[in-house]
Amino acid sequence: MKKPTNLGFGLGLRPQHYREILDGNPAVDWFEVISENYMAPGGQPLRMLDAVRERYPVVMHGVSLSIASTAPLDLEYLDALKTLAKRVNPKWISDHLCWTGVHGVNLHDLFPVPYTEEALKHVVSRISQVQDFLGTRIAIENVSSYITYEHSEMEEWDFVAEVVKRADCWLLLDVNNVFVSGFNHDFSTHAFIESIPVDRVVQFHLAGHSEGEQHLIDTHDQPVCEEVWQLYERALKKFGPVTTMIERDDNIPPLADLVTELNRARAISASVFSKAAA
Amino acid sequence: MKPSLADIQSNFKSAILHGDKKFEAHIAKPARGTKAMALGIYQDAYKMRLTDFLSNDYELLREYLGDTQFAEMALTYIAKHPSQHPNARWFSKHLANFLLSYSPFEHHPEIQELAALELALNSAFDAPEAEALNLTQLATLNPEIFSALKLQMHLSSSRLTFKQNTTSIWSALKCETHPPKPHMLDTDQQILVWRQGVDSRFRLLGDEEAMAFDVCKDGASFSTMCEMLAFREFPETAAERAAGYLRGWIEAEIVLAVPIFAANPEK
Repeated sequence: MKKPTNLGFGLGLRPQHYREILDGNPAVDWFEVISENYMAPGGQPLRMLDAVRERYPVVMHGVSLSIASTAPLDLEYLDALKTLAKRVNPKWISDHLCWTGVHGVNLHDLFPVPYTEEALKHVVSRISQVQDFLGTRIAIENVSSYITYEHSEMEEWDFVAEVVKRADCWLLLDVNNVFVSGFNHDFSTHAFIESIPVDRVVQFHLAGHSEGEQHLIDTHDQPVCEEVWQLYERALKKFGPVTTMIERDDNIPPLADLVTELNRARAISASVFSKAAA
Repeated sequence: MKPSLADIQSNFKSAILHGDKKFEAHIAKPARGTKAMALGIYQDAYKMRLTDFLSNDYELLREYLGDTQFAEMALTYIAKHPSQHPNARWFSKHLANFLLSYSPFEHHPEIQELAALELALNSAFDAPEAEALNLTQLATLNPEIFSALKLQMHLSSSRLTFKQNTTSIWSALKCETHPPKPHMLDTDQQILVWRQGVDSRFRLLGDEEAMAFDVCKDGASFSTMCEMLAFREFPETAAERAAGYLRGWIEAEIVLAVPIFAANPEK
């Protein structure tokens, strides 16, 4: 099982930055696109994606696979995903370890699952079906959560580790999500990181969050905070050099600001691996 | 007995959509705050996210109504039309129709028309690609064969008919200026919406051009269009008028090339 090549340091492709990206040459190694935003028949989004794809490696990241839903897999959605993948030829395809809807209703949120053997078998079986359909391994991302379930039988990190092993898929480790959930549920973020198998992690997400009344909320509308940078450093020490990106979905700043933030990720990584080499 | 994953998801969904309390039994004792507080994050995020989808798709309508009135309307829409598609872009498609029967706006038909205009522009924005006929190509075609061919219009093109001064309201909002007071027009306004390059556009049409476009969108040929215009009035200038309309549509890149070249009517 050979992991995909490390793509370096990337950003999410956002319409606000199309022109700057295509007119300039920003110091970004690759871009991640929200798959659903490009599942359109035509027009500007696909034209921009084609143009970016000619210059940069691209990874497809979905939000609606609903891999943990008990509703049947949405074959129309999967078909559109496969069609887009044929056009984009992404380095890999990812989505979240969650469900987004049931009974024909899409709630457009990333809901956590109870960490039970039943849910584990269900998710593993569905990932296998999706991988067979797409003809490739996918990467699954751990989500932030604000609740845990009364009937969970294991810790989140054991569930995540077991999913990726049994389904033979990759893990997109969202460092901010580990931090947010760790705060909300008062668990050790280090225990989470230490439990994840090194050979499964193909990508890190870094993002900002906001503070609610009692909880941290995964809003992706702020710069990455100090604690998440520290956890990122720890993750690099555990997993080695891993493709990294900064996710910004709201309150989107100029591209240059995100490139500056991305350079901090580069610097942390350089520091970790220069020390390791010394 | 342990609840099944399906039961948990069903109860969670009901808690989000209808505020059902049953789901709280599935939530473990929280490390912070209360169960209701944690669940409230998901419930609030649902309403906020779907309102944002509407707000993104109907930016000028939100501007026209103001945030409070828009949010009230959005919550009613969200309750009546829960999203049924994995792609958020489809969620807002019913809004213009929904507004036809939304009683708080029943004396403000310009609101429904504004939504219909934004919907048409959004639909044009990501309509399928198709090669448009250009004037140079047109000059190479055999006029007789071309005249008999059924025309096909780009899928981004659509037509609207407004009774209110909605396009003036739209233009003012787009320029971030104060919109004029809504009022009923003396005669209906005919509008063509389409995408040129990557930009969605609209322009006003005269009644005759609107009728000509409608028959061509339905697959009429250029010669049929000429006959219809001749029947309408001034038969001696009908062909000239039809040619003028066709030229405008070709310049707007909404007459498709493929069906014409497939018939191979080159000189």
